[in-house]
Amino acid sequence: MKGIVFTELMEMVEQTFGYEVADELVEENQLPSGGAYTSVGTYQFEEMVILLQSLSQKTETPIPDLMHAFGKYIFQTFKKNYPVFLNAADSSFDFLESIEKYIHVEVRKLYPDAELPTFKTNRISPNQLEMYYFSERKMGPFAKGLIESSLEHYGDQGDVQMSKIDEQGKEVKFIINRA
Amino acid sequence: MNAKQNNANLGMEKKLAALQRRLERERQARKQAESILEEKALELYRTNEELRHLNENLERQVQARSKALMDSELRYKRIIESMELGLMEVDNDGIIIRAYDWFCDMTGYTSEELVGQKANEVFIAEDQLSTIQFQDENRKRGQAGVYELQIKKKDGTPIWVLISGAPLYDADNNIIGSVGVHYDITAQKNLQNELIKARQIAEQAQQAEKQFLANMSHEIRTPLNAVIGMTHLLFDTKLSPKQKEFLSILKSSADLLKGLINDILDFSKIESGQMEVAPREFDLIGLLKSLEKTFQLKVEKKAVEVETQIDPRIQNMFVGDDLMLNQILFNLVGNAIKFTNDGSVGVRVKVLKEENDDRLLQFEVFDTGIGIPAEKLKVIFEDFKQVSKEIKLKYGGTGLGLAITRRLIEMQGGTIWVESEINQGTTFSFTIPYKDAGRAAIIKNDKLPDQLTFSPKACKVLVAEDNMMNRKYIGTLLKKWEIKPEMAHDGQEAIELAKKQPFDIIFMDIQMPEVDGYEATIAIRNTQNINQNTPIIALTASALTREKDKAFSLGMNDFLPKPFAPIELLRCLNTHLSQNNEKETNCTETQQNNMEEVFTFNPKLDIDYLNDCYEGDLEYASDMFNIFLDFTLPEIEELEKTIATKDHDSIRKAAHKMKPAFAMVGLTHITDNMANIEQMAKESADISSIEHIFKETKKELNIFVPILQHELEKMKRFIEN
Repeated sequence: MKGIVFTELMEMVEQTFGYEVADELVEENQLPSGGAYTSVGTYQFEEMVILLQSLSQKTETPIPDLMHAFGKYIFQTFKKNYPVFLNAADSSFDFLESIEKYIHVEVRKLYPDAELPTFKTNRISPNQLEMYYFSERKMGPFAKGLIESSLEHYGDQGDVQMSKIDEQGKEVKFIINRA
Repeated sequence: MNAKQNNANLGMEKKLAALQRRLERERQARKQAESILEEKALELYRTNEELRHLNENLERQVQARSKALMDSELRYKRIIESMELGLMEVDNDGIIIRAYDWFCDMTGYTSEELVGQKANEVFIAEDQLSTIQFQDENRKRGQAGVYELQIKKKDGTPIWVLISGAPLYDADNNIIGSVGVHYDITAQKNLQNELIKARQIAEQAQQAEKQFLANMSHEIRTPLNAVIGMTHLLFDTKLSPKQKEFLSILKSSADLLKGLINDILDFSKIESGQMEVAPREFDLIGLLKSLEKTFQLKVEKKAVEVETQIDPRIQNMFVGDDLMLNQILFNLVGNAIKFTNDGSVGVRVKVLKEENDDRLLQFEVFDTGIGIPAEKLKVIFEDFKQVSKEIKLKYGGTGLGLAITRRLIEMQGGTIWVESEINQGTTFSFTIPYKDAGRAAIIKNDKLPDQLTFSPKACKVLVAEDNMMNRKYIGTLLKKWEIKPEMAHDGQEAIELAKKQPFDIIFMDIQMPEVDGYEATIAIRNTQNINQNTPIIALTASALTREKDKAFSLGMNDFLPKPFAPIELLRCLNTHLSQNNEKETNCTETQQNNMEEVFTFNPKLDIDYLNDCYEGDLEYASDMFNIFLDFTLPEIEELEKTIATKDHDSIRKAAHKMKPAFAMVGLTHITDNMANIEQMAKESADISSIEHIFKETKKELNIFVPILQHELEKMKRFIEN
């Protein structure tokens, strides 16, 4: 998993809970990388699982909620670092539809080793979009946070309903409505 | 306090430791990042290097390709420029987009003057517009084309160009105009026109030459005919053996010369296209039989047999040009005879192919003559070619005979070939396609019908006579009897005329040039024609029995020796035409006054007196003879009784009355006797002397009465005839 996800998670933890909690997450867990993350590096996904589990225990917050919050948080970073992708789309739905066909294509050019989820979109009506998420990482809530932030970014009022297609959450369906 | 402080210190220490750890982690992360960065930088460097190499490579390739392209373009440009080909490009509206140097040189314009102009308006004369419009339409349909066109240069001079036009396409394959490659062919065009003119002139000259040849041949032929005609006339005169010999040489030379002239005339006629195949219905079997008999006459002096073998399938009349066939066979058979001294010559005919009414006939003219050397077989059909100089010297000829024969055969759609072996003989074979006329050729060999009507005005007479004097003579005589004869100048013409219309009688001169009277008779008697049974009278100066026999054996009916008297001609007409028509006989008789010789009386009679008296009026004479025999003769008995009375006066009167009657039948000496008796009675002479004269007279009469009776019969027959 790309280093930026780790550095952003640690950043969010420090901002939300203070650097001591972030230090504890590193100190209390046996992390192969030793907790030293750089956004340009690449780390094992298991470290992310350990960090999230550990954080969930410390904060007594369910992992899905943490992932959802993290999704909303990381959107701001993306917005700041990669405005080009957002500017390329005129509306939230256009942007969401462009992820698979355009953004992921470009990301893979920059990071050939990046392991990205797969999305499928289906415009039900002008204001309703069906979006499917497929990933071994089972990070549906993280995606939901990102989607919601996208809507906000384009100034859309609306809601995102998430339902698992399989038990484990490797396949997830979103119904996105905008007003 | 210490504890609190310790706790506080402890908290601070922990925080510090956490911060230190954080710092340490940051440092490590930085190192990680730096090493990644370094690695990436190195990777980037390498990638850049590769990229640069790649670029350089690519550039080299592009350069090489571009250079090749440029070289190629330059090469083609140079080729096109050096090829003196003027290129011009126009758009779909015919506006000039680009004019290349050569095109500008060719037309006298600069490129600047041309670009933007409408090509057709600048270059094309009005009379050429249709050509270019047709080409423009083709170009728009994407079709290329090559054509010749006259265009005008800037200074107005016209030039001829050969244009190869092709459509121009853009990158999307749309037609955006056309490109024309112009090649200046003015020089060639001029040359071509000059050549056409030269050829026309040459052809006209050639035509004129042929015409000249044909005219000359004709012009030569006319006086030559006179020479030949006069030669024939000379034969009719009394000649010494030496003169006869010279005349024979003159005749054969003239005939030979005429043959040559005829060959040349035929040849030039064929060459100038004046000879055409004229198909008509003809009797092939008859034609072949005539030919056979004609040539049998010609080979009389040689030990050569003439044969004809005819395919039994040939029964009907055929449609084709029989005159040409005759000429071909005459040439070939004539040649065969010329080169054959013993053995046989002949014609074989067989049907090669039968389809509907089409018949392909193969003729073979064979001989057992000297043969033709193998190496000469190919050239003998060529013009003016003879087997050898020796042959030419020995046998003469133009070398045109076979060339003419070949042409005549080919004109009719046939072919000719030859097989020969030295000293064994030669066979000329040829094919000619004919049509079966679908009806049988009936050959009539019946005798003449017994009766023919003879009416002078309706009487149709054909005279075949080559001599003008003779023609005029016989023509004048016939016209006197109100007969308008048809005149043939030679045997061939006689044959032709005999095919066309029926005649009641034909007078045929025997010695004629080309086809003589015997040959013409053979042709008329043996081919199916309307005059096959018409009486033919031979006219000839030669009264030899051999000739007479020959004439009769060939089917001639009578013989009239030249020079003949009008009466002989008339007798001949009377003999061979109807004898029943009294009126005609009268008509004939009334004309007798004009004749030199009327009737030959028995020389025992006083012919002079009779002729003076009757002037040829036989009708009158026979009446007189009749009266004499019927009335004057019985009066002799009366005179005898009167003398017995011894009455001198009665005797005188009776003798005087009877006296002229004797002279009227040519017995002038008896008239003299009567005059004596008259005189003696007048002088009352001794009755016994009167009786003596009377007895003598009666004796005379006994001799003369049968003569008179015979003469009367003769006259009656003569008149009737």
